[in-house]
Amino acid sequence: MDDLVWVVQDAYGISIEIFDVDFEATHLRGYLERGEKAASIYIREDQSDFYKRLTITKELVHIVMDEKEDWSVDALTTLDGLIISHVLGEEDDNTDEPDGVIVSERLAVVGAAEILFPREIRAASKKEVDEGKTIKAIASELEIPDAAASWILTERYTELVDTVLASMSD
Amino acid sequence: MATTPSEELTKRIAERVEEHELVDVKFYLGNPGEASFDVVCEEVGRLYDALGRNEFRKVDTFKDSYKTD
Repeated sequence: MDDLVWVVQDAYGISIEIFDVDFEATHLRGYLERGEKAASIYIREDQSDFYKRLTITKELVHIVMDEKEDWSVDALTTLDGLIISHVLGEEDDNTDEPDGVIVSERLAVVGAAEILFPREIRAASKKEVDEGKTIKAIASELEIPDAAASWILTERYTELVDTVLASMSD
Repeated sequence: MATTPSEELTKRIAERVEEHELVDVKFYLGNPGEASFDVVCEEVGRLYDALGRNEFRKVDTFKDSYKTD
């Protein structure tokens, strides 16, 4: 995982720089700017290292997975989509087909989750939880936030993965 | 008339897109379901303020900065 940045750079021919930024926010964890041949990932400085790993990985997945038709500099529409459209499908009673912003975001979130907490180890982790191991211990071993580990082990996450895979096969 | 956070952000995004020849911008929001649009616009504004003041530090390698052991 530590080599992910270099792999993405080499495979996609794009130069990637990552920056810690000192600014105050409750919600904004990270920001990706992309040009034709270079990308910058900006991470809010006052987060745990585990959240920084998650944020960077999610933005790297955007670089890997997004096609040109997914690119957008219409930041307001992107933010609106993130806030209003229940990206993670937690309360998704909207039966309309999600637009490209939402599909891109769901793919990035799932991609990051699968890199950091792969499917092939989750069954064993669930068993460990059933046997008394704490989510905190599992998250610590994986170097991801507790909340992320907890969410990835839920049925809700599995349903989101199914949704994402279905959208990719359309 | 005072500009709204979103109006201000629209202007700043456009400036940044032009200056850096951007083709794509993406955001990672924590707890987006609890966020208000104006608050998030203000947060992005604060990020841009920090970038404008050069209050950011390059992370040389992913491994060196975020390895925890």
